[in-house]
Amino acid sequence: MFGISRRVFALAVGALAVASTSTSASAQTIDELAQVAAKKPPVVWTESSEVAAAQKIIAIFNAKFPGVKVEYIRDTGGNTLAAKVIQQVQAGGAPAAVLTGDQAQFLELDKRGMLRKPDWKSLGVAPELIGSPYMVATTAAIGMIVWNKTKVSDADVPKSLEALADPKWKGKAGSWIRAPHYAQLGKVMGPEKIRDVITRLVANEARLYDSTFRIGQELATGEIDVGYSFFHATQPALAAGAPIGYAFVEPVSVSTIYSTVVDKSANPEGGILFAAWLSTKEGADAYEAATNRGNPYLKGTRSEGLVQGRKLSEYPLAELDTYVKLQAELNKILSARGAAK
Amino acid sequence: MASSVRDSGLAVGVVERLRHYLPSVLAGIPLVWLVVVPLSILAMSAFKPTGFLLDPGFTIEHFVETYRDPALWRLVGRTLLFAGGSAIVALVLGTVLALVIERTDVPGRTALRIGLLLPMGVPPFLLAIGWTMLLSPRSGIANVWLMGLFGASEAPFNIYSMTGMIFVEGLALTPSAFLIIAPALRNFDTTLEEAAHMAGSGVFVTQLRIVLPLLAPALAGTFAFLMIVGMMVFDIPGIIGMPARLPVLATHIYDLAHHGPLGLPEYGPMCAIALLTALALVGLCVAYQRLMAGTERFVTVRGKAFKPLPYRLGRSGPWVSALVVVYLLLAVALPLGALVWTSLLPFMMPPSLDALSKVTLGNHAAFFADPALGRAVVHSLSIAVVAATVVCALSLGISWVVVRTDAVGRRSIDVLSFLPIAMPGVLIGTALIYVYLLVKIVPVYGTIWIIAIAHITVYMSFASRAMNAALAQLHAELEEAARMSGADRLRTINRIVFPLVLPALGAVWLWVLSHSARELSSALMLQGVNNATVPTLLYSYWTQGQPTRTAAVGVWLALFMIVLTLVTEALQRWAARRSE
Repeated sequence: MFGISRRVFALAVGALAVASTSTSASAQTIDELAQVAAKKPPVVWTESSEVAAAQKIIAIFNAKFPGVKVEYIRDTGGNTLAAKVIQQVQAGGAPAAVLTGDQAQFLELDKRGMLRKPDWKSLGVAPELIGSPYMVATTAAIGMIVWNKTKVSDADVPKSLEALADPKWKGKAGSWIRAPHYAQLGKVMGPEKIRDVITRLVANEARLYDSTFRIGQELATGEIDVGYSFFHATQPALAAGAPIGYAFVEPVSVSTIYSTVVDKSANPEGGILFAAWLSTKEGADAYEAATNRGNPYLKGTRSEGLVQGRKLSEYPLAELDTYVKLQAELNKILSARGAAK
Repeated sequence: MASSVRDSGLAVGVVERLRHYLPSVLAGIPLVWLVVVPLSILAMSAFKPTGFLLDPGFTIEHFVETYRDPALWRLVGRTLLFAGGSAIVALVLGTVLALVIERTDVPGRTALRIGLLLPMGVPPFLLAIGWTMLLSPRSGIANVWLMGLFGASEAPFNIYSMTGMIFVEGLALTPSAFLIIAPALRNFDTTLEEAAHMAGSGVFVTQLRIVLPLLAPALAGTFAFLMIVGMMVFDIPGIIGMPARLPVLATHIYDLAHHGPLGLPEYGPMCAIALLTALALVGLCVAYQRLMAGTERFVTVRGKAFKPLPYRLGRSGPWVSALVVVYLLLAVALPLGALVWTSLLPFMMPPSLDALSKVTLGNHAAFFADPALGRAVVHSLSIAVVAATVVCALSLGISWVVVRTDAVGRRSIDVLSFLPIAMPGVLIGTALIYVYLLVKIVPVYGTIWIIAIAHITVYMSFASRAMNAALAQLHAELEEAARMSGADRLRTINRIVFPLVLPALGAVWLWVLSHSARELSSALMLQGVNNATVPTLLYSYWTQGQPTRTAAVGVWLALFMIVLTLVTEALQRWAARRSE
């Protein structure tokens, strides 16, 4: 017991020591980072996109930085990204260098002093993409209304999320079983309103799927007529020719996904280089082309064009606590535990 | 002189004492490493405020919060309904099929016996997808067809229901039930039945009053095993139960692992729930041991030779064959057919002329062009072969200690070998990350071997149940006779026990092989840069919205597993013939 406590203490002291030296690392230029990174083991990048998509992104990065090798580990999605890093650091292993995921996970890692805080601005990252000193915006999940074009006439297309709770869609609407995108809508709609809409959606016997990708496929089969999903998750079915219509109704739910660099990784310099590159126009385009998930906050990207001029709804990082609480509440309403028969 | 006698008496005492402890110690060492260490990590994590093993602090809050929540007990109730229903379906089907195949002259017996192993080749994940394609209430192929046939306005079946979940899980568990019960019936001494017949009992009464009671240990052990599997399984509740808002413990644990709002898995509550399941398991195991206390009455394989005579089915033979074929249709042909159909489409569509015009081999071509495929196949196969072989060796040794010796602590060994099934794959993965990062002299972290270790741990439960049941049926007089003829213990096991339990051992090997080759949860949790398996590849396609490509991978995975099953069965038969 005491041994473990000492170990944790030592880790914490070590983390603080590294954090205090991170300023010198952050002052490095892109070229210097590339030179240091090239001499170190491969940069390990982990997130939830499929391997083939990640390899396309890495290939474009390597065209620019041929000396920096990047390897990819596909994460299972959800909360295991940060958890694995904590376990690896605690047990003395080498975690991945770059993590791409949601802010709540990275906040936990930052609280444990496990993340680098480079000078992103000096590395060419646009200020609006610097979520906090330890992470930069890489991409986002953008919410939208979807429908089966052969089953729903133009006149019947739902004009809002609330419309999905209309009794005419009873048992015919589909939704993700999780609430992050709904919680983001709370920023503009207000927590009370979104709570009410989700409660009615569940009462309307909406089909709740474990993946937003499945909503597109269930629309294609005709199992559901309408739904609320993400732009990127609908693209595979659309690209295959499925008769799916979509519309970004206001307010548009946006859940930004960030990249961060783990301090104890084998090649943090390479990690900083890669994370910064993902936030450039070239990196964002490569990412968007491979995954259909783009960065709406970066000028000139396809995603920016999709939502241009529309009212976006997303809690700023300063209101993370409010967002987390609302998400937990909505999760409970949606979750099988709260709503089950 | 007196001193040397005392010394020699002391030495005899030590040897005698060793004889009582040594078997348990030898069987216990691997179990401590494989089961106690990860389970201890989970137990300790349940008392950590953050749920992380090496974080500071101590709390019982997770237990208080978890068990005080009325929603948990509703979940437990629903889980018991699901697991119990599935176990009953599988047990009834498995027992009836085993009786038909092992004890009757049903036409095409050999082909049917091999056919009954095929469902193991279809991962439950794919079975669930196949059945949702068939019985979704609005677009299911079978529902649409039946509605058209009878002009009905509503679908006759809804797979998104508790009945649907139990039906599919029951089908998925039936091969396991069959594989445990069939060897027990194969080794059955028919003298008792013949006596019953001589006394005027009919076939049905004989089965009910003679065969079933003698099968009690195998049936009780199988039911306990199926029940626990049903409580922990995620695939089918995840695919069918989630959209219908029918959660069970496994889907709740998945939620806690992946979707907590605070950014980290809620390991504390997860471990608290896993410990509850582990305790329930200990209870089941103790009950099973009590049932087995009078093990002598279950012995059916004795020293004298016998040749079981099959029941003659006469004219009803073809009908009985047809019933087996119906099971195969439900468990393999229909869901696999739905998968084949889906794999030929650009996106999911019910059958129609329009859909037929869109048929393509693109998904299959893309799958074979995937450079990750070759590596994944080699990884899956290596893991499965190693896990199956190690599990067989360990379970034979453990069961022999439990059933055949009076070693001190053998009951604890039995409980330990059964416990891993209480640990969800995601938690096994979490525990093993700690173990193999901290114990650096075993450099398996990030390799395929850490996944093999996870599979060995998890599948020990099934193997030990199956081997216990098989060994309980062998009378000790066979081994006593060998020893009286001068054979030592090792030679006795090698020449007497091993050949007699070979069918059960072969069944266990095949079962572990097929389950390991399709296992997903721990493989995902332990995924590194270069240890992807076929199921993780399949999962990758599914979660990225490519169900048609998933179906293509699934079809090839199922075919591969079916071929593997057939090859293994052929090898077993060849080995059995040689040993005869």
